[in-house]
Amino acid sequence: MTRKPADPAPAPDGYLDKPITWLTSFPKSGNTWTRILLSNLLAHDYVDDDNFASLPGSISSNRRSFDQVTGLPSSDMTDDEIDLVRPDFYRALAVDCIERQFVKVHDGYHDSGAGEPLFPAGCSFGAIYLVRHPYDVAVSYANHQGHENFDRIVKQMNHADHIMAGGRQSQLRQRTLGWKGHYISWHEQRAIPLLTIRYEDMLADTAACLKQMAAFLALDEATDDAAIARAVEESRFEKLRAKEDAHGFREKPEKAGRFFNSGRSGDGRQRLSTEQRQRLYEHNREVMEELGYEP
Amino acid sequence: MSDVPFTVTADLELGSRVEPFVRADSADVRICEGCVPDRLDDASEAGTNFEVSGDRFLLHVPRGASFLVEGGSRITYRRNDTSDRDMALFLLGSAWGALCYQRGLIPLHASAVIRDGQVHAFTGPSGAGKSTLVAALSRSELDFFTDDVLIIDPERIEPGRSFCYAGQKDMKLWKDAFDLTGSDKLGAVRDEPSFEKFFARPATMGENASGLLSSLTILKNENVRRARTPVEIEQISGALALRALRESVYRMRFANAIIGREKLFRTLGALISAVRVQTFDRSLLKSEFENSTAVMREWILDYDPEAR
Repeated sequence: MTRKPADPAPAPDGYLDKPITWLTSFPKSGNTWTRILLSNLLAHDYVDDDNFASLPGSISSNRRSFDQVTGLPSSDMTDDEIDLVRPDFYRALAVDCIERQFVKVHDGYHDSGAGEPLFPAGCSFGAIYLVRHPYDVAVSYANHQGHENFDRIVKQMNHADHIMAGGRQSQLRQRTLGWKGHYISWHEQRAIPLLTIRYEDMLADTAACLKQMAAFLALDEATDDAAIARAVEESRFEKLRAKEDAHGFREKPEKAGRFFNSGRSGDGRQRLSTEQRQRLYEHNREVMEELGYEP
Repeated sequence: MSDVPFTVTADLELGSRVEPFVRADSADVRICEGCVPDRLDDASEAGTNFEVSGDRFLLHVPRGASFLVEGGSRITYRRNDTSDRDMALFLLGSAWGALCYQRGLIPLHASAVIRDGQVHAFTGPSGAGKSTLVAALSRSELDFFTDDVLIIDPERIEPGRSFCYAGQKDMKLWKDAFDLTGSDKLGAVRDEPSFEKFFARPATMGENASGLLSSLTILKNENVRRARTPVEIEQISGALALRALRESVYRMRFANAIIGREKLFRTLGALISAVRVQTFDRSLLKSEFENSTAVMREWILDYDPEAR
C-alpha cells in the first residue's frame, strides 16, 4: 500500500482510558462478520441463537442511546445538529462504560460541524477498518436494500454525499462519503490508530486475520491458537446462514433477502454490467489500485 | 378531578400542544425568560447536554436555547436567538419531562388513542412508528389522545386501574406519514426548511386530556425476520413487562436522577399489575401498514378491560 500507515496501537493498558474500538467500514464489507468473530473469541458464552454478536458496544448511529446520554430529543433535531453533539456523546459513552466497547461505524471520518472530528481520539483505542472489493460490495448492498437496481447502488457508492438513515429513521444519519471517500477519510486521519483488513484476506485465511485483529487490540487471545480456531469455526459462513434460516437475524433489514447471502468474493464481476463495473473503477481507481483490487 | 396533573403560565406562546395545561395566572408552574447558568454545582447526574443537582435540572440545546427547571414549579429559559417555534419545541420535550419528574410524575414515551374514557397507549423507541400508528387509528370510534408523552401519576395507580394524562395534544408526523394516516398537515415543527416534520391533526381529536390507561403496547418489528406470524399481539407480564416498561420511560436517566430508581421501579411494578401490557409485532413496510393497523384497531374495539 502506498498510503502511510497510521500510528501503531497504544500500549495494552491503554484501553482503560480509551475504551472504544471502532469497527469501521463502508456497508457490506465484513463488519458484521468481524463482530461475530470477535464475539466468538471474546464473549463466546453470550452468543446464542438469537444473538450472533455478543460483543459489548453498539453502532455509532444508535438513536436510543444518543437520546438517553444527551438528554436531547434527536427526532426533533436536524441531522447536522445531532452531529454537533456526537463527539460528546461518544466521550460520555466511554466514561460510563465498565468494559471495552466495540462500536460499529459506517460513517466516514469527518468533522462534527463544530471543528472537531466526529470520533474523538481521546476515547478511542483504535479502529479496525474492513474493506471489500467494490464490485462485491455493490451486489451485497443491493441485496441489503431489497432490490437489484445496481445502477442505483453504483451511484450511491460513487457519491461523496451518500448517507444512510437519519431523519425519521430509527438510526442517526451516517455520512459515508461514498466508497472511496470512506476509505480515504479513515486512512488520512492520524488521530486514531488503524488496522486495515481486506474482506478477501479474511475469506482466504480467517484465522490469520483474526489473530492480526487480536494482536492490534492487545488481546491475550492473540496467541491462543485454540481460541482463535474455535472462534473461526463458530463464525463460519455456512453456520451463520443456517442459524439465520432457523432463527432469523435481528440486524437484517426487513426489505432485504438473507443477511448472510453469498459471502463469496467475485459475485460483483459476474452480476454487474461492464458499464457498472467501469463506472465503479473509474471513480474509485486510486483506492482500488492501492488495495490490489483488479478492475 | 382535574384533567391535567398541573397547570402552567408562560411568557411565550406554547401553541396548542399543551393548551389544557395553560392558565393566564395562578398556575402551578411558571415559565419565563431569565438567567440560566452554564453549569450546576454538585451535579449528581450529567449527560452531554443535561445536569441534575437536587431539585434543579439544566439542559442546553446545541447552538440553541438553555432551560433551568427548578423545584417542579419553575422553568427559566435563555433564548440564545432561538425562534419561538423552536423554544416551545424543546421546552415541551426534555424540559417538560424533567418538570414532570420533579413533580413526582412519570412520563412515558408513548402515543395513545382513547375510547369511552379508556386509553390505549403505544410505546417504542424513536422510529418505531408510535405517532404514525396512533394517527391512523384516530378515526371513527377511536379518538387521538396524546403524542410522544403519556403522564402517569404514581398516586393514582390503584389495583386494576391506573389514571393517565395526555402529555401533548398536538401530533408531530414526518412528511411521508400523512398519506398513510389521512391526517391534516399543519405548520412545520422546526424553522429549518429541510426538516420535513409537521404538526398534524388526526381525523378524530379527543377532547379529554385524561383517562384510564387500559393497555400499553410495545411496538416491535422482529417477526418479519423470523418464521413467525408477521402480525402478532402478545400479552407479557412479570419481569418481561417490567423490562419493556422500563424502556418506555421518557429519558430514563432523568428519572433515575430526579425521582430515584426505587420509586420508579415501585411505580412501574404497580403499573404492570394495573394495566394490560403487550407487544405488537408488525411489518414496517408501507404496503403492510393498513393491514397491521386494522388488526390493532379490531383488537382495541373488541377489548374488554374487565376481562383483562
